[in-house]
Amino acid sequence: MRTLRGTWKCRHFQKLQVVENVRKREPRFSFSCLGNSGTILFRGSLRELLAVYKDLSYAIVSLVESGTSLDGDLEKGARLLVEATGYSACSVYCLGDDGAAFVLMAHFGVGSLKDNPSCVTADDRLLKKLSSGGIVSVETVEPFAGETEAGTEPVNIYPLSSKESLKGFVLLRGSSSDPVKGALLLSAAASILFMVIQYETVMLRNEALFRKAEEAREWLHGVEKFLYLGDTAAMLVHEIKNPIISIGGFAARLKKSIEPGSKASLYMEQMVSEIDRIEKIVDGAFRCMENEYAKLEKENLNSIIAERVELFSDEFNRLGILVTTEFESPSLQVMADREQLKIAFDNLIANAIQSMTDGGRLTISARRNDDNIIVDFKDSGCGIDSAHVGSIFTPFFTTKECGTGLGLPISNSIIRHHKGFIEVLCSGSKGTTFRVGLKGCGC
Amino acid sequence: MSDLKGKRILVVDDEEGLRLLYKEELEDDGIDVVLAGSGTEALEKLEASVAEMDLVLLDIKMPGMDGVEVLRVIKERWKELPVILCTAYPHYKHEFGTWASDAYVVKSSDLTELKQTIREILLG
Repeated sequence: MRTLRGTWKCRHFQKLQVVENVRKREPRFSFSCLGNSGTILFRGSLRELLAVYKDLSYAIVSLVESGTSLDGDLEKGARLLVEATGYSACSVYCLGDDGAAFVLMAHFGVGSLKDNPSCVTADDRLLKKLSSGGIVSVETVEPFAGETEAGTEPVNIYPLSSKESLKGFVLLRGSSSDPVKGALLLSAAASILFMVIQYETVMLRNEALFRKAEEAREWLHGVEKFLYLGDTAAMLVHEIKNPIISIGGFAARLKKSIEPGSKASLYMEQMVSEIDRIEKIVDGAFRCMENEYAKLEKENLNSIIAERVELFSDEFNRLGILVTTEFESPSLQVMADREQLKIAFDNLIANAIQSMTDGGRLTISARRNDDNIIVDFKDSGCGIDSAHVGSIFTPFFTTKECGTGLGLPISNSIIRHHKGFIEVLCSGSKGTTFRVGLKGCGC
Repeated sequence: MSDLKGKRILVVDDEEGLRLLYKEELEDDGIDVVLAGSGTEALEKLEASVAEMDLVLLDIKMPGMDGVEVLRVIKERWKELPVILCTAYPHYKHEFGTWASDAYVVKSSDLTELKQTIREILLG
């Protein structure tokens, strides 16, 4: 049979010696530890040793499994410690995340939470005392120093630490009813309270990670649904296009052969116009889907914007809209698919025009911001209803009578395929500003 | 419109409605229209009478042999025969295989652009 006889190193005790009792064949232990009043020797059997630890250990460990909050758990731990050891009060202090101070988390026993300093600076002197590993009298420890006057109970502190880190300390008032047992229990309780604090940190970190994972899973689920919808929509659009062209073409032919001004001619006109509308929707939906094929090349942003502004000049004049362009430099270079970027900008400009049918001002400004080029489209129109702002990039969402609700979603889709972003910076009665971010070409 | 009279066009599209529409529209301009409902049928008709054909109007998305494959065969065998790709889908324009065509028109119920392109190619 293997023997435990010998001297063992142990974290809690200075020296743990196992001495076999030849007569009873039961290992007996002797060890010394730092007690309230110096070194204490313990001699006893394994059973006696375990009995000392068992109840308190089980009680505190069960906190970890059923705890609801850290300060709640620490208060229960303080209560169990006081009941087991006979100290008159125990206050638990935890080291803050910044490592600059210990914060009072829990108290049990004589007095209340409010009777203790809520915060203790983690100065070098205190830290050095706590690193000694055993119970420390507070006679010279601020801010407790003044407490140990003659006639009052002894006040000591005990670290909550492992070899690698210090998590806090317990402040103990009074003395343990049994110095040896008290010392052992204190040591055990300190280890377990340390674990409770450690566990809390890990749990919080895990909770944060778990929450992030949940959010990511939900987002992915949303994207999958969206993609599935997109696939269905794509299939629908493909199937519809040819029949629509056929209907539209024959309707146009029929209209030509009907006497103008007749009821039949009016009906045909209505049909042709509606078919035209469906075609535009289908084409728009195509454009939303197809521009994965954006080929990005170095393009001069200033010239693209100038060209689009020129394209709409008749509309601007007709409605009395004053247009200004402000470029940080005469030649801002972006990585873009020129044709698609034109469409994206056209939709933004058209959107601005639709909000200023009684005239107004449109300012398009562009500047560099690190590796990006930022373009702002600011109009002085009627603004977007705050209830609708979240939906403006949703395909087919429109508040306009004749709108298809595809202009902004198409711009959004194009800009995203350019690895850029588009957002509503602000919108109110004074107008709306759309901000577009694009990749600069790094030159 | 009579300047196109006598010209012959092969219209290739798997959609019967569109074949009929193009036939009606092009015959208005005096053009002689031959119809094919698939890539295979188109090549058969060309084999039989390519010399009389002035232009091919070719759809891309068809079951069996698609328009891009038909285009390849036509250009290999009858290089001088002009081909207009006429399709509902704009994105095929980016595909290398379509670049051999003489024109690429996106289908629409308004046939103005298509007819204009046909006119430009036939009258050179």
